[in-house]
Amino acid sequence: MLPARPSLETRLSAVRFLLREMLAWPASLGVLVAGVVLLPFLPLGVGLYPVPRLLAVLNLLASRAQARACAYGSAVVPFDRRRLADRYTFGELAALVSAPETKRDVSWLLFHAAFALLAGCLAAGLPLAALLYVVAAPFWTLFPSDMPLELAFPVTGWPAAGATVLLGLVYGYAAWLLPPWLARRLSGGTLGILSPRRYDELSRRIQDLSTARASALTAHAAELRRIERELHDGAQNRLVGVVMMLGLAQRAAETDPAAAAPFISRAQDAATEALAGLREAVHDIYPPILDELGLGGAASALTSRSPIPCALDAHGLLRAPAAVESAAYFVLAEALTNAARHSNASRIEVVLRTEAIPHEDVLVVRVRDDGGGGAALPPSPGSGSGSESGTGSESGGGTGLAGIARRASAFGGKLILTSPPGGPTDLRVELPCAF
Amino acid sequence: MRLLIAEDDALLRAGLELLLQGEGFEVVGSANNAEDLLAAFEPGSADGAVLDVRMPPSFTNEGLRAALDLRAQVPDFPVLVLSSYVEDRYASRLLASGAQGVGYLLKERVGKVGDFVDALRRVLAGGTVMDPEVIAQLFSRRGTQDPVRSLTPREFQVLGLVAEGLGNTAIAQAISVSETAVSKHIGNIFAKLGLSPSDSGHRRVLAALAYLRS
Repeated sequence: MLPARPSLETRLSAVRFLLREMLAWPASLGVLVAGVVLLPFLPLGVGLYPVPRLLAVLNLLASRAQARACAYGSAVVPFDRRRLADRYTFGELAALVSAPETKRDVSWLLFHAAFALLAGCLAAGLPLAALLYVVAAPFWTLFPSDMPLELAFPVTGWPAAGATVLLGLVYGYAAWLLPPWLARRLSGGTLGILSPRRYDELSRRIQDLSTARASALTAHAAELRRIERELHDGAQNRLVGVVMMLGLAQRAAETDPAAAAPFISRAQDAATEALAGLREAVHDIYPPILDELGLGGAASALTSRSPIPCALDAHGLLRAPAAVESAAYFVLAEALTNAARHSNASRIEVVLRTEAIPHEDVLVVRVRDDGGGGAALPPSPGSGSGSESGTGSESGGGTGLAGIARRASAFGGKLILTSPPGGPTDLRVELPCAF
Repeated sequence: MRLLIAEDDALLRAGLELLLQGEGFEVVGSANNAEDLLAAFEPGSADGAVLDVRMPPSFTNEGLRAALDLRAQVPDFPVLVLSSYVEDRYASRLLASGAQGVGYLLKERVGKVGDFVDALRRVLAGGTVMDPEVIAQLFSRRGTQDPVRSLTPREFQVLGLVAEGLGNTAIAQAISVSETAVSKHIGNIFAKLGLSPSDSGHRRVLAALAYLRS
């Protein structure tokens, strides 16, 4: 069955796609040659240096080819490509080389090196040849007989000229028909080779989930420790203070009842502080307002308390598990505090929304301000270098952007921050609603 | 009596100083962490130390380790360790450093100023003081077949007071019975636990603890 006849527009876009693939072909060939040249050196250990770089280049080429193919086919890029580090140990390198991604990239390289030039030449050459044959053949008489017009064959008489024009028309028809088919083959092949197999995709997802689960457990443990500390330093110690002051008061009262009064008032102060500490701890465990008003209502309570005028859009927000809502609440609270402290903004926009992405729903918290920008995440432990500006990163560890990133990663979520110097700042946190 | 204090909470440290000075002790050094306390310590400069278990930087058992350190420098240096919660392993580690002059109490015991000061004096005199909670925790770990389970509530209470380092007279006052009744209870306790009675306060504690820990 034939597909619907392509319009001129789609034919042209097919030609454009094929020409771009042809332009990308030398790079593919270069990498292929470099790879073949390097192959014998691999076991010698010399491969440690060039292989990651070669793979990085290959990764880049493949990702661009994938993007081109997706753009051509109006497809969505199906997955995030892996990110390569600069340096690998031998074991990591071996794992890298034998990874399914590497196999896919190499298959694509062979495919592209073999067919991209051919397809591009056909797409570009056929119409040119057709044009040349049809236009030039009638002028064969202008050529001297010892050096005749050579096209597909020497044109030395009208029959040959007629045959050449006919051939040109055949080429022209081919140039009309072929590109969409070629482009479909090439883009389909690229996506087919580069897209992870179902199995790979699943194992990748399992890996992601294990990472998220481990980080959730770590974050949970850290959270418990933080609450314990808060209770110990806040309420518990204050209450010991109360008991101690009352003991002193009692002791003082034995000799002089009037001397007890200052101790009693200090006991009262300590008790008040203990209550405040308890209230804070309870609130930090699960804000009662969340239960009562849901995330939308709780968020509006937060935004109305913000010293900077704050617009809240919570349409498109669905109920999420309590833990996720509570994380979103704290993310928002932290982001608003941050903005109030550092941004010098005159307006903040908050959007809370439930978005559907493949596999799951995510709760999106987005906070934009028109302030000075320049906020940066403190370097996360384990990742080497990172720029740190004082903005947003308090020494407390659990506060500021670091705290937001920690909460987000605890739920397998993401923090995306754009805050160029001079602003504006756009903070987006995605929290998966289910694991 | 010259004392060292280590407590990271400013209010509690100030309160503790006030309380001890009011009771006639001399506070010769007070620190908000264990390291500063150890730095300030010189053998002969103090007669004892009161330490919070949990202090910066790691908020785990800095105070306990500092106490053991002090006792390593000066054998049987009296230490009274205060904690927000009871951990019988801490008690065991303290006792392992020597039986003389060791105390381990819940922080809130300072509220009963008289009892607290008595306990501190017993420690400074070379006695042993364990929080009743330590004893309770040790008891709760015992199985149902345990002879400790065969103690009557009164005997249990008396054993707790024994563990706190009280002598028979003090126990008799504490639970308002005659001293002979206390002796009888203690005789019963040690009989039930299979221990031979002894007169000295802290040796009885140690016997009890050693048995409970076994």
